[in-house]
Amino acid sequence: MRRRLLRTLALFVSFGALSACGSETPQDTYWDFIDRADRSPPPVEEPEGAGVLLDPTGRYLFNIDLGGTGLGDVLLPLTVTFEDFAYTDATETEATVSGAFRFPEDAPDAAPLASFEDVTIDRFGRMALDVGFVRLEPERSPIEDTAVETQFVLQTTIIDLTSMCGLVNDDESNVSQPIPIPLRGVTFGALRYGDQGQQPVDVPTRCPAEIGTPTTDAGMDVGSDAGMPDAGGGDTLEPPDVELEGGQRANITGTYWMSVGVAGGALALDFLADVQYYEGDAFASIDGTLRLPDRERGEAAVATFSEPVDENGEFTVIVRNLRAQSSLGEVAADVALRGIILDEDTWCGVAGGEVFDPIPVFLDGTTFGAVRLPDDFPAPPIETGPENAINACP
Amino acid sequence: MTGRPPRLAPLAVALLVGATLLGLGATAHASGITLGRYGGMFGHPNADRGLALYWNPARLGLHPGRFVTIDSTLVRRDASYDRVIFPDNPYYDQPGVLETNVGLATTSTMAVLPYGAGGAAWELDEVNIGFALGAYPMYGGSAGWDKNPQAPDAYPGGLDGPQRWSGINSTFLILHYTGAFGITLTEWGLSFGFGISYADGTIATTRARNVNRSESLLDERGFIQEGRVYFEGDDHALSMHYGVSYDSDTVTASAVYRSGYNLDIRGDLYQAYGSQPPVQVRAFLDFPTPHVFQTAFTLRFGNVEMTGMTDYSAWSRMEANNIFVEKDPPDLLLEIPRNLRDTFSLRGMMGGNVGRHHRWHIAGMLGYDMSAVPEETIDAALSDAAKIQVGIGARGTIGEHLGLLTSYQYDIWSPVEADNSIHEPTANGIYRDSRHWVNLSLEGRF
Repeated sequence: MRRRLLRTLALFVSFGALSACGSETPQDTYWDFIDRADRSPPPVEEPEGAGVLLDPTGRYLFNIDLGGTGLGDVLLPLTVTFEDFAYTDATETEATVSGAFRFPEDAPDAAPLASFEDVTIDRFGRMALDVGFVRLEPERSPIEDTAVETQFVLQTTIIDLTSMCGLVNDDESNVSQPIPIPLRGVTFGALRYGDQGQQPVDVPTRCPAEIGTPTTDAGMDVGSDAGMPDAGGGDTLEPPDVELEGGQRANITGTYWMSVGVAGGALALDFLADVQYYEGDAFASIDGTLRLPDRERGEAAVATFSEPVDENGEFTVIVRNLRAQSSLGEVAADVALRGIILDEDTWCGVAGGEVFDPIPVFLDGTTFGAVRLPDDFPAPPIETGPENAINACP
Repeated sequence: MTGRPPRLAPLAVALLVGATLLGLGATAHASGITLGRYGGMFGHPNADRGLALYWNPARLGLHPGRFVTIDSTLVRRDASYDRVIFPDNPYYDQPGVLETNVGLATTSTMAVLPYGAGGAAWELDEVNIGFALGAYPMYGGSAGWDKNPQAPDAYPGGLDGPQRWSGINSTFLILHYTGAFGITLTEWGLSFGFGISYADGTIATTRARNVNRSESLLDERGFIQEGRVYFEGDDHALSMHYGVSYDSDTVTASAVYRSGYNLDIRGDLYQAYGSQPPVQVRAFLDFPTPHVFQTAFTLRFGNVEMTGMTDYSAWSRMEANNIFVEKDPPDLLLEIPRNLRDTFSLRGMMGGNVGRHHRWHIAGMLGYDMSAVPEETIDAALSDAAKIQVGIGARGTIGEHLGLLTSYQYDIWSPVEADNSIHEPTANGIYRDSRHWVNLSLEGRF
């Protein structure tokens, strides 16, 4: 300071005084903008509802939106590979999983950017994926040509078999270089890679406004909002007491086109069903998600379920307050399904219950059928199903 | 971390602002930011006494005696930048962009450039020697652009004008504290000189900036994305200059070489992106100055005098004004390509002696100056253009002890239309500029 002052004094005080009056300095200009602009950060949007505990084993594309921090539209795509999924107890209300972060352009077996081991997944499908400290070189940085050093924890929720989402909500997650940036408020979405390794497209950057509720056999009431589908057993809602024949246990893991036909043709419903089949020495079960075909991947599912499958391949699913588009327009219904697995590509059954909005329609005599979608079937949103779609058991 | 930076010493601010903010901007004379017009139209390597400290130290010993030179140049700058973006710009259709990021930006400023030098020369046997000490701004520039009150309130960054992505308010100044020595072999008319300068550079600049280098105003959710960066820093270096001159009754010829130097300007970088809280980091930028070679050749026929001057400046040394975060290895934070070109300029001046005892000399000047800044890297913070220079001036003496120079010069800049900007965001559009220079130089001789 002294040097600068002496220098200035030595150089024509009068000149400086003459010409400086009333001028705005660069520093003034900077702070003027900070003071007058509304720079309120976006709120941290916690999604409503809860996820579901499912085996996420596989490869997902995470689309991390740094804009949630108020940085603007800056995206960081990362691939996360999950493996070594295991329930921690017999009740299957908690599990652990390991995995690794990589760049999407890297091969699945390339050296990971970061990895995690035995991360706990709770009964609502929640897990904390700690990326730890990483340095993103300029060529791979979300800020072009600028190296970034960062550490963050992704609070991740499993929505269904193919999608996840979450946010960063802790104060330790931050960017340390090139400038300090707290990452609280970062959001992300994730979609599973295709069976043939196809990279998902249009990956969301945040959770849908609502996430499907957990299953009843998890034994939890998460207090979801009214209007959320409630897949679970009710006091009086039961599937039709009909004996289904020809069923068997079979691995039906995959995506299905499910059509529901109400007796008399009163209404028709179509769903995309993502199913994960598990079979052990003494039991079998299915986890599944029902989605509307005309909605983007990543939007809230209309129902999720996790049910046992008996030795005849028979299962029961109860969905309360199901809201879906039908031939009557949007309907709300309580539905009980009794289904059987016919083979690895087909399952079907009967349904009971009641549509209570917009008009009462009893679902007695309702049937449904589901056929596996081929790998090359168009991704949603779609309007029509495959040619071999069925809405009842053959 | 996030507090406001301490203010510069008020007088330092006064100097900076006075010398540059008020209008030097990218100035004349063989590139955009050279300030050396001391002596006005009569400033060239054939100048002597106090002005020789800057122009040619070889001529410091030419006239025995003591001298003090005070030189002042009033500069008026009027510039505009009509920014355009093209439909392929990803933000072309974003609401507010055409109202705030496109259109005419203007600046009209005025400044005074000071120059001071004092020294002495002695006559020895067939040899004169002289020295001088002095100080003056060598390089500088500024851009204090007018506000745009028509910008919609919904986009607060727009108030700072459509040029704000290149610069809103910048000051840059390199002061030289110079000492020089000259020797003249009187029998041969030959002179040689050497000078050394302590160069003290300071920069302060503010511009709009988004972390993803875009010119987006709001993010996808409608929250503010536009931010600001402000950098202030300083550094110093040494510069040498060497001169040679020849004098006869009818001819004076001189050449001078000034070495360039690299300023490693370090300081604080303040950044505020989107709705993130402002942060401060230590940063630096390299600022090389050009090697300069200048000549002057004067012929005298009776009362008529003709002078030709050339200037070659190796501005190609400046490839970028990138700003890096201080760490090992440094991280590039702000990429500002320059890719400047070497420049060549020439001026011709002709005049005659008038008045009683022919003590006054009146002359006119015409010159041409190339642009150092290519169209691909021109921006509102550093603009330049090919320019025609015209001027008229007079020099003479008042009594035995006071010499006086005065001149008026006008730089006519050719408009520059850029459509291939490599800046992010782009700096395409039409640049116009003009400069008026009024110089008054007083020299006491004792």
